[in-house]
Amino acid sequence: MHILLVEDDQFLGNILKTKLANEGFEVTLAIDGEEGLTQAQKLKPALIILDIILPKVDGFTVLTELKKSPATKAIPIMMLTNLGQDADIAKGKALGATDYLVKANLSAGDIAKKVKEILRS
Amino acid sequence: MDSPTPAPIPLHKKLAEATPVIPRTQVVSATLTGLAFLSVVALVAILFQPIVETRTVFLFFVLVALLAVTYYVFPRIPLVRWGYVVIDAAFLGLITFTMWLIEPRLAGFLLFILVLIVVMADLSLYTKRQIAILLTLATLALGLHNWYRLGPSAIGMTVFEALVLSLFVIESRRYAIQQFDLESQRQKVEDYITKLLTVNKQLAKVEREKNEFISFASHQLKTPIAAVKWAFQYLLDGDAGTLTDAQRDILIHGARANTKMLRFVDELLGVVRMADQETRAHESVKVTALLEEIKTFLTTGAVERGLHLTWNEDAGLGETLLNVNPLAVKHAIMNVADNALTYTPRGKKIVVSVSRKHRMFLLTIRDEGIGIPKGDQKRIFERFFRARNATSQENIGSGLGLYLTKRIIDGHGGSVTIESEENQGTTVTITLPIATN
Repeated sequence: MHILLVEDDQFLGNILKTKLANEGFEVTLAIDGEEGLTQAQKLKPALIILDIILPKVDGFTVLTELKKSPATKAIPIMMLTNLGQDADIAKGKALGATDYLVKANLSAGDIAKKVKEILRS
Repeated sequence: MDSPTPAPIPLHKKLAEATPVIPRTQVVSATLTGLAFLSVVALVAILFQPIVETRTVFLFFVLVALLAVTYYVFPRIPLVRWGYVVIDAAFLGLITFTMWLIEPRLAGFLLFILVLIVVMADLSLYTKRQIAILLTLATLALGLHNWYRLGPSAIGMTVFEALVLSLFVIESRRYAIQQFDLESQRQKVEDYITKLLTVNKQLAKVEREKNEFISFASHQLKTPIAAVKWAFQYLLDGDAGTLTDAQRDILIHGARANTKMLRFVDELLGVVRMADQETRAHESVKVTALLEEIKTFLTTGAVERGLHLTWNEDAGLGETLLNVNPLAVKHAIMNVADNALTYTPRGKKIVVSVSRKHRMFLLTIRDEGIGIPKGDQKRIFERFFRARNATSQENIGSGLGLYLTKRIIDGHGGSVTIESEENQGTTVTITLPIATN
C-alpha cells in the first residue's frame, strides 16, 4: 500500500518513512504543500499524512484542495503537526481530516501503528 | 479622576435646559402642599373674618384643585411662541378691562385662568418661571387695587393666587435643578459606557494576539522537542543499529528528560491558555461524561504502577448535571488524579468517592501516598510551589497542577480542600454546584 507523507522537516520525514516502511508500506515524501498536491493526484495513495506548517501551500489549504478534487477526496488524511490548540484541531476535523495528531505527544512508532489501524478499517 | 471640578452652572442655564413639562407626580405633590397651606390660612381666615371671606377661600380651594386636575390631564398646550404672547396679552387686556370697568373680583378669576395657560404652555421652564414671577407681582397689584376700591374682603382670592404662583416659582426652580443634575449624571454614565466599550475592544484584540502567540510558541517549542523524542525513539527501537546496554541506558535517560521538558511546556502553555478557557461559556454536562476520562486514566495508571484503585459512586449520580466548562474541569480533576498516582508508592491504595450533598457535587480522591508536610499544607495551592517531600519522589513537577485546579474549581463556584498527613496519605475534596434548571 502506498502512503504519501507531506512534511517539510526532512529529519522527521525520514524517521517516519523508515518506520512505515518497516510495517510494509511504500512511502513517498513530499517536502512542501505544492509537491504534496501534485503527488497526491499522481499516486492516489491509500493514506496521506499531512503537516500543517508547510512552505508554498499550507496544510489546511492542501486539505481543502484534496477534499474538493474528486480524484482525491476519498483518501483518508491524517493531520500531523505541533499545533495542538483546540481551534486548530476543530478546524482540521471540520475540513475533513480523518485524524489529528500532535508530533510531540506521539512517537514515530505510535504513528505507524495508527496508520495501520486506519487502513485496516 | 484628575480633571478639576468644573465651574458651577448658572441657574438660568439649568432652567433653560430642563424640560418644560413638569411630571405629574410633581404637580400632585405641589397641589397637595398648596391645599394644605390654604387649609391653614382658611382656618386663620375663619377666626379673623374681616380680612377674608370664607366663600372666597372655598372657591379658591376648588380652583386650585381644578388647576391641578387640568394640568394633570393636559400637561401642555402646544402653540407657537407668538401664540402664547398673543393669548397672554389678550388676557391681560381682558383682566384690566374687567378690573376697571366691570367687577374687580372677576379680574382675579381671569388672572387665575391666565396662570393656568402659562403653566401648561410649551415654553421652557425658565420662561414660564419668569412669567410666573411677573404674574405674582401683577396679582399682588390687583389685590392692593381691590383693597383700595372695595375694602379688605375683596383681596382674599388674589392673595391666594399669589401664593399658588409663588409655589410654582419655588417648585419649578427645585425641579429644574434636580432634572439638570440627573441629566449631567446620565451623560457621565454614557461617557463611562463608551470608555468601557473601547477598552473592551482593546482587550478582545489583546486576547486574539495572546492566542496567536500561544499557537506560535506551542509550535516553536514543540517542534524541536518532537524531533528529539523521535530521534531517541528511533535509536531505542534499534532502527539505526543494535545498541549496547550502556548506549541504551543513556538514551533512556535522555528520552525521559525530554518527556519532562515536554510536560513542563504543556503546563506553561496551559497556564497561559487558562484565562481564555475561563471566559469560555459553560455547558450542561453529565457527571458520568465528565468523570469517564478520569476513571480510565486512574484505572490504567493504577495498573501500571501497581496501585489498588477503588471507585465508589453514589447510585443515580451519573445523571446529575453540572453547568461547567468541561475541558477546564476535567483538567482540574486530572491534576489531582495525577498527583495521587505520582505520589503513592507501589502496593498502596487510592479511593475515589463520588457523591452529592445538598446542592453540591462531591468528589474525593484519597491516597495512601507520601502526604504533604504540615508546614507546606497552606502553601500547596500556590503557583510554582512544590512540597519539600515532593521533589524527592518525582523531580519533575511544575508546581502548577494544584494552582490551576484551585483556580478553575473556585472559578466555577466550587471548592478544593486538602487533608493530609505526611507518610500516611492525602485526601483531596472537590465540590461543584449542581446545575439548577
